[in-house]
Amino acid sequence: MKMLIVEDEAGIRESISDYLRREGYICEEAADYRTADEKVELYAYDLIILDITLPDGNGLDVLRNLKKRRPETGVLIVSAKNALDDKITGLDLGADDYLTKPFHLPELNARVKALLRRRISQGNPTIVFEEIEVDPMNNVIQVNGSPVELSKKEYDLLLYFITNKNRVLTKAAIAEHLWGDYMDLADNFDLVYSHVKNLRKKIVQSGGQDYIRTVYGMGYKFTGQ
Amino acid sequence: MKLLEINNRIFFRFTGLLLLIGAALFYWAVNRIIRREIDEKLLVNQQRTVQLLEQGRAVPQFAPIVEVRMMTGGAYRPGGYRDTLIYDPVEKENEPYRQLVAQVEVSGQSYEITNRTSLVESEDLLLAIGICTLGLALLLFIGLIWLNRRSAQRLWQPFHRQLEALRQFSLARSETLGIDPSGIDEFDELRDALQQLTDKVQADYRSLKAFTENASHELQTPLAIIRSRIESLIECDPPEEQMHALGTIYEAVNRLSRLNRSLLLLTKIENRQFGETVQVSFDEVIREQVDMLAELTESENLRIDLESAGSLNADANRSLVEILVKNLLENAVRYSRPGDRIVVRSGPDFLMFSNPGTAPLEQPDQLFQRFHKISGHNASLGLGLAIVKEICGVYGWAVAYEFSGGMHAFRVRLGG
Repeated sequence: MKMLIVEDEAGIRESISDYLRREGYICEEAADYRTADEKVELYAYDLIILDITLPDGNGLDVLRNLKKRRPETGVLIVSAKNALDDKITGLDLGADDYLTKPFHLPELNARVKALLRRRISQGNPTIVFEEIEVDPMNNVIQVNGSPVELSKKEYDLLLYFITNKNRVLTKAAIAEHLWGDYMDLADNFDLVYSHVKNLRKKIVQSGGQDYIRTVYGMGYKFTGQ
Repeated sequence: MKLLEINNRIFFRFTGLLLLIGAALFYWAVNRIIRREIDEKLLVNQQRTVQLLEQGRAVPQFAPIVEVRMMTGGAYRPGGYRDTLIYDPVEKENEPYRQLVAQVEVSGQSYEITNRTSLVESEDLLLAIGICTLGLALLLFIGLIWLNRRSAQRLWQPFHRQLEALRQFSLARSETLGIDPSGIDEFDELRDALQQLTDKVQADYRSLKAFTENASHELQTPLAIIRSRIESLIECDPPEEQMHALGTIYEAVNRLSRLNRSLLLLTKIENRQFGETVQVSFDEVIREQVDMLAELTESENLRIDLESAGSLNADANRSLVEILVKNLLENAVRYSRPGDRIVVRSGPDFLMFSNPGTAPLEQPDQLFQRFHKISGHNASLGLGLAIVKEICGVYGWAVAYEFSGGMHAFRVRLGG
């Protein structure tokens, strides 16, 4: 899977590529509009992570050129501008998703995976982790072949864990993923903790293994090892 | 006291004094002139009487106007001019007279000649003059008051216009003061000074706003880098001690990011950068936000009751309304205890969020200030209510805190 990361801030660009490389993707980088446009012209990518505000041009123009040339490429727009206009224009131009800066890397990862899932594995999009099977089309979870009843948030949490397996998920990243704007409040009430506890209980009760490991002072890690 | 009144008071005191002195001088002068005329007339009459005596003709006796007496001893009247009172049998009272007495010798015979003239007429004349003067003064007074008032109204018009313009002036709106020149030097000077002042204040305000906006924007990227770097770092399975330190840094960065985001939002609202206005149904927004909170409130055993006394709709930006409702709702939830009942009441022109409490909050007027925190709640950024107030400011709504019936309540009033 080949990706192009268009982002002018070196620190952010490198963090993204590092994170995604460890997921097994091939990542190329472009720091400005000119490079991005050139690369899009020359090579084919499965996915482009595109920052809209570039020092020498607008990321939306890269998107326009790309969609003329290779409309099958997935595009995830990343922007510091929380402007609704950009979001709408971007999605109108054929972008698949939109993420506002600053974002958590696991969040980006989850979006990337969801996007690729939608675009590529159209036939059978089931996600499997050991004995756990997730069917994101129908929001159904099976452990050892038998369905498990999860609340909406617990389901989202499990999916988030599996997409970011073997990664540390901080409480803040989980709170933001699950509660969005109400993450502060969720943090206040320690909701992440109680949801993780419930999810653990339900998986174990259904005969699954407890894959959720607590990372002291940070959050959790979903891992088979 | 009005300037005009003070001015009038000074003016009237001074004119009154001047008029009094003037009247006294006038009386004195007129009196003197009349006296002199009378004395002259008496002297002429005396000379005529002497002439008659010298010609040996009979002198007509007409008391008390002319009296001629041969002097054969007895009491003499003192010579010269004198004022005297003489009983008038017709009027039956004493009348004032001016008299001139002279002792003359005509053909070896001594005579005492007394000439008199009544002063009643001259007194009447003086009275008439006095009344006329007073009337004139009064007329002058009234006329001057009227003129003063009329011209003051006209003259002060530019001042009142300036005052009104200043009252209408708002820092947030970027329009200039815009007062037309009046053609009166003093007011034009004031106008120029005001214009300079407001222009400068506005420029300062703009640059301060730009600074906040730029600072928040510039902070965003480094914050994002720090955060993503920490997220990469914790993947490397550092020892527990370092992980703990990283956790602390991470939490602080997250807090900073949230703070920065809220500040950016505030500046955005201040700069009116939320253009799109649509008809927003508050009831819909409230339901959505309450639904989003449902799981959260369930776990805390909180109840949120929606009470609607008529649907609430307004032309506004939908995301701003969402933020307003979210912040007020969040506020009510944050300060509730498990088992509490939160009430969201709405009507055609108001919106109210209440949650139970024991005592009214202290310093209610500071609740809406930026970074105001209630002691013991350090988790909040202290910007939520400031954002609520700012949003209300955009649409001319009013938000206020009240405490009644054991409930903290935040009420938003829409429209008049």
